[in-house]
Amino acid sequence: MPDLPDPVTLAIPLFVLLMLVEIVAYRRRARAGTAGYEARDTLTSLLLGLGNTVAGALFGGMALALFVWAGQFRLFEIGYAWWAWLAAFVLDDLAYYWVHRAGHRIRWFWAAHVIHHSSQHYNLSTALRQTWTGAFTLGLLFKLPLLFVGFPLPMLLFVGGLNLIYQFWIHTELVGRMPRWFEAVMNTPSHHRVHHATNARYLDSNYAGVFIVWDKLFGTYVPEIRPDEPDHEPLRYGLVRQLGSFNPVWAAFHEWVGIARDLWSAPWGSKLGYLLREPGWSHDSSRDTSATIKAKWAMRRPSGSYFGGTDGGQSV
Amino acid sequence: MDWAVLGGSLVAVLATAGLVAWLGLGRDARIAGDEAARLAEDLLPGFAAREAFVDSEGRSALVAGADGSYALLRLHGAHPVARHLRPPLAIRRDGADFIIDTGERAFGPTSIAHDKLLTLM
Repeated sequence: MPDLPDPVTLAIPLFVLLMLVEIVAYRRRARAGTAGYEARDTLTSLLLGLGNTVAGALFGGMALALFVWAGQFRLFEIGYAWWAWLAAFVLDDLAYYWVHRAGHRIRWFWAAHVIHHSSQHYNLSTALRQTWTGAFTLGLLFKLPLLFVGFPLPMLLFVGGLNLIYQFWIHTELVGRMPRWFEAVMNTPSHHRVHHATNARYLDSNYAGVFIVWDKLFGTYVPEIRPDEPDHEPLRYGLVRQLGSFNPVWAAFHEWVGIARDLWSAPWGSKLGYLLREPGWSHDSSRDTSATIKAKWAMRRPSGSYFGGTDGGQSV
Repeated sequence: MDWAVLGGSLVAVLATAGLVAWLGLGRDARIAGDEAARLAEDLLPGFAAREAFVDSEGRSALVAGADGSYALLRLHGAHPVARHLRPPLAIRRDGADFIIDTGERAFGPTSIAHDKLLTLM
């Protein structure tokens, strides 16, 4: 078994360098109407990233133990052939798509993932806002089939790291669109801006990690409307209900607190819905889900229609 | 966990945020008088704005809705955040400012300097 390094740790100097380049670019370009960075937001993002590494050290062992246990039941011995690396990278990205989609559609999982969406900025520091509580969801289960098939655990951990590294650079507003062939296959800044946007038309779309083809295949792809295209609207980032706080601890735990409050106060027959239904769901329909937000937005549009992803949305 | 790496990372975090502060990025944000109503409608699904009271320095705004409810806007760093409030508002006066409390501890009270808010007390 090869002794593989943690690629994410090795990439940290690159992350810092690219972030500094982006900061300086914003300073030099003084882009009108674009507040690319803000000090308190950046501090919160980076502290949340640092907290993620601490959480990984504290709770990562649980995930590792689960993976080692699952590896006992593998059907094949795939080994470290070149094609196995490619297959592992692609299939791990497919698993990531479903983990990520669940992270947006199941409130329990969203409670861990929301931290990544809690900034109103979209820059490279936002990429480092990573979960503190991911170990307390069942997201890991989506990766177990790869172990059952027989991919070696070190290989899966390595390609998972490469996946995260790829996703770093797409968290920027400074890159418009990549060449058409690249946009067609790969996740890009343009596709991922849509994913982070809170504009109604963009909610719950583009869950891809590396390959945008998964969204196209599973009906959740929404293209970005660029400023020079008809019907463009400026993208707003963050949460539908913005936090309004730079406190990193609140950013990490606010949704867990919300779930706890709802579980406590909801009628018995509805309690599980506050854990397992989509974010915003309530037993008395007093809150907004992405579907109701899209419907309200469509009602306000002159044409009374929208085009968008199919996940949770509804055409009006 | 390597404590030296953790300490070094913390220093890098503080240095990067310090650089952003030193460069002054994101400091000039304001809520303009003519954009408060649109912001309220954009940020709060289904909200229809009727009249906007914008803070004299553009830090915040209260937007009255067509249905009698209110949108409270305030800058959070470089971007606005909003809360949907129903009357009666928890509003008090502090000198030239009016302080509106959402009841959310993490959101905190919002200060608005605008003469016409006197009519809402």
